[in-house]
Amino acid sequence: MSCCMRDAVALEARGVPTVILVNDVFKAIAHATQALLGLPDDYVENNIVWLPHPTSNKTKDVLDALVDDRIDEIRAKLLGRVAAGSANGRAPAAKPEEALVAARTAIAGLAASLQVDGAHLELDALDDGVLRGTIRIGELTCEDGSCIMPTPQLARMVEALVKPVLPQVQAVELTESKT
Amino acid sequence: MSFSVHDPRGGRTASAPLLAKRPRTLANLRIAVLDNGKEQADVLLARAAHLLKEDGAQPQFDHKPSFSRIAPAEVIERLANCDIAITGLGG
Repeated sequence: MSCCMRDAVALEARGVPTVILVNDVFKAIAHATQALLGLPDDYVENNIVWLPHPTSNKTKDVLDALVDDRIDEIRAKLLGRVAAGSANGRAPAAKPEEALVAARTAIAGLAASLQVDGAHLELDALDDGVLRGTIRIGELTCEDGSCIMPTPQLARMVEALVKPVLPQVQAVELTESKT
Repeated sequence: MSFSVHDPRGGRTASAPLLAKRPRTLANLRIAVLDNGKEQADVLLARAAHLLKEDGAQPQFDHKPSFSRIAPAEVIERLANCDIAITGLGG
């Protein structure tokens, strides 16, 4: 791993901007090497593209898909433009459909508790960092509606549940409908 | 009897390395693809090179004899005529 970084630095010194593919278990070593070589504090962030470890046991199709998912980040780093969502060494954003599945998993407990009270929370789409969903209010277990929280507050709760697993989510918009 | 104790911590002995100026576009650039020999590095790098070729970059493949050693000077020398580079696998 550190040899890869040293090779990259050797190429940089010859005027060749270099991006490195590295498995994510080596983040600590990458940062230590960055410090040892006297590289800028943002060198790792700007020049390394992380892959999920391990890669040695993956099929070619899986490896191709890993690169496909990161090619925009590779391009951006070759051009010195760090891609949004890849800063600070975070994993690149998941595909939208995968992200939506992850978001639904994150709110599963909340959705289940709302369902007990007669409301159905569904997440419909994730576009440009905005997670959109619907709260369908059916026959509630309370007459005055106080058994479920107001929709804006619910949106904030969804955001709080989803953001730890999907940092790319910038906002949550819930549409309220009565059935 | 006396002992000499060496400090194993290492340290920085050279000035900060210079980083290369980034290009504005990938079109028509020669891209060095340096495979360090780790398992599957060739697959990952070949895919990246294939996709970057679609942007107009021209891959120049090379490899080094051991992933646990820095690339020999002659390898760096061969690739230094490229405009950009990608290497791996740190894994």
